[in-house]
Amino acid sequence: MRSRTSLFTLFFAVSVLALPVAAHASIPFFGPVIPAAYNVCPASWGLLLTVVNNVIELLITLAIVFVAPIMIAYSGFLFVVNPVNASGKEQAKKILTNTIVGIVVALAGWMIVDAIMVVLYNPGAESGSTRLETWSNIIGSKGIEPCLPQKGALPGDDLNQSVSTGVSADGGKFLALPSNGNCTPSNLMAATAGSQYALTQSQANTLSCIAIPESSCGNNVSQARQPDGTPTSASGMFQIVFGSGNDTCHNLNIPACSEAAKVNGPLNCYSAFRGGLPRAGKEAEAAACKRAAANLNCNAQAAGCLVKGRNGGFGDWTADPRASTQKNCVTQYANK
Amino acid sequence: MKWYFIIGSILLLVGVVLFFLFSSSPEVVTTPQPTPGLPIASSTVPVTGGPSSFGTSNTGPTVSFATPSGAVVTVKDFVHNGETVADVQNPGSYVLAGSVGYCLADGTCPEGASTTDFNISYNEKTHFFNIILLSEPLGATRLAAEQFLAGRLGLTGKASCSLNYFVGTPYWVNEAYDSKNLGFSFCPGAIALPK
Repeated sequence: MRSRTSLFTLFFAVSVLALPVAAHASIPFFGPVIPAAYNVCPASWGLLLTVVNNVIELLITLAIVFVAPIMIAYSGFLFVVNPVNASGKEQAKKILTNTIVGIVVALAGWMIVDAIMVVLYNPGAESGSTRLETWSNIIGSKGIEPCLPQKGALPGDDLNQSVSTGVSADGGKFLALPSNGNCTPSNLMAATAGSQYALTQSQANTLSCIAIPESSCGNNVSQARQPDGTPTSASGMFQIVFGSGNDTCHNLNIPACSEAAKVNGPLNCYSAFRGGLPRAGKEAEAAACKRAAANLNCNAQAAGCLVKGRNGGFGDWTADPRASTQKNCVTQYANK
Repeated sequence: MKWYFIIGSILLLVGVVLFFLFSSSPEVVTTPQPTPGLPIASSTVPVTGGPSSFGTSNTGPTVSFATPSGAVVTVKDFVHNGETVADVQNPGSYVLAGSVGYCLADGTCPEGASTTDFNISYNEKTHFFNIILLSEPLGATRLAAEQFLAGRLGLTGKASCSLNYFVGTPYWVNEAYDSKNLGFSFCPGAIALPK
């Protein structure tokens, strides 16, 4: 009896530790098994891996969300209907134990594989500075193309490979990259060149595309509001929201930004704003942050900083529910 | 009793699986739209450049610059009109209407023509006009921006269509139109906007 109590305690502790980790990843996962963005192209190895992952995550989700509660309820049912029947109670205990063990084994197995694969995919990861994503996300963002290239398609153009899109000059992409204005890919690469946040061609293309819905490619836009109408501190071409995080990027703690704001030392924009407005007593710091954010070099490098912080991801611009164009930009230009 | 319970659970499970497997949202087919006025990344698109030349005419100071078609257009000097302000954070850029988005270290906050409905900036290196619509209804805002620009440049109607320009709106103003060059309303290929 004592050993069983210890066993249950152990299971409970492991479950408590395991579930939040699983929740932080992509479990629970309810589909679709085949990503909607890629159901229009012939699958390649990358998409196959993603689908296999999705199937595993779906099965684990079903086990946790549906099977386990049903089995636990069933064991409880057996306990209730067998108040004096020793064999019935024993069967109920066995079902309960097996259910809990099954959940722990399934979750632990998934997490162990995920942890190993995520480390293998990120050999240069550093503690405290590298944000590791789940394995399936890494597969989709580390250069394994999800679609087979088609005959006649432009290089790297794995989607929209038909020729009937009507916009042929840019290879059939729905969202064309600007060739003039401040947010051209070449301007963004020039703005970040030589800094630690230098953009790759693919990242510059993606950000160039993103700059159109974010600010209409303008440097002077700072009136953005959240979906509920409250103001934000979003500023400049990439609408950097100072209050989003107390980190290098959102603080504009970047040499080019200090230079643009004409201040000595690093900026600390996170603490200069509250609720999208300058914090009382911090008006001068807030003004310096706005000044810096309006500068193309500063804003582009802050955007590069955010991309680098997300291991090449663009989640800072796609999280808003209104950001469908930004998501299309990522689909069309990221990792191309 | 026990078997009813088990069979019921299995059927429920199968039903849930089938529901999630086949309940993906219908695919939205988006028809690509031409983007009038917005130069598409291509080597065939001429990139405007070269210096602007300032001068005077019977109507006052003028500025001349090349358009994407290669033609030279002469308009009223909208840079040195006492209203347009330099965007000191981005040398070579000027703001004709709206705020530059920041205040200077001395506390002054430069602003072109006072409006919060749109922002118009000009880059003298590329002779590029960036018109950003910041309030709804977009159709009325675009009309106001067009009238403002026509007044400052002294260009009317179709002549404005030859400019190197972009008319856009951010996603937080209207996400349905945030990916397109909306164009001037009177130019070929302009996007019709709600009035």
